Amino acid sequence: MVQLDLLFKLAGLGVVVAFISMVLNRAGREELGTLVTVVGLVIALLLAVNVISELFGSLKSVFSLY
Amino acid sequence: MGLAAAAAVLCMLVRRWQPDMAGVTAAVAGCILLLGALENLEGFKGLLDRLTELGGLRADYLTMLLKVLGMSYATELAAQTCEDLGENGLALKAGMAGRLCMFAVIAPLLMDLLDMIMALIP
Repeated sequence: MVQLDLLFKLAGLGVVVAFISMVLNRAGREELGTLVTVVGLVIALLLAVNVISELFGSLKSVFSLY
Repeated sequence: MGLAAAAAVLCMLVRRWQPDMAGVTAAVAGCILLLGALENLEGFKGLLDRLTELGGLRADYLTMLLKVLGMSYATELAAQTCEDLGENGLALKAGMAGRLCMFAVIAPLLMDLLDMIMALIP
């Protein structure tokens, strides 16, 4: 339960990115909006990779799987 | 369990604004949940070692049991994450691959079983 803040960070990131892309689209720069969306997605995936690698590390240590 | 509920609400929130981010949040929430579950499995190995001495079982049977348990854990995680992100076909394939690996670990156990049975028959 220690990484609950990570989950909230991810959700906040999604909301902020959606908001920014909406504003950018309204301001007439669609390509910038999509760029921001892609960047937000990449950051989210990086967070996900960190959590997954940590999970598999602890899995290997608990079940001595290697 | 509270975390699962919070994650579900967050995914719904994210899904409304950012559809493709929702899948990633769901996957990350699942991983965090399982990570929490893993923490209280630490004392498991000590228990098993004591069990081997008491029961007189052969040690490699129990290490095999631990291995298969870990593999099923990882396989289930991968399959459900794939299904969560909408890739049902991939989820089934991941499940099958995991079962094949588990069977590869179990094979020597089957051989011992057969030897034992053959020994029984005069």
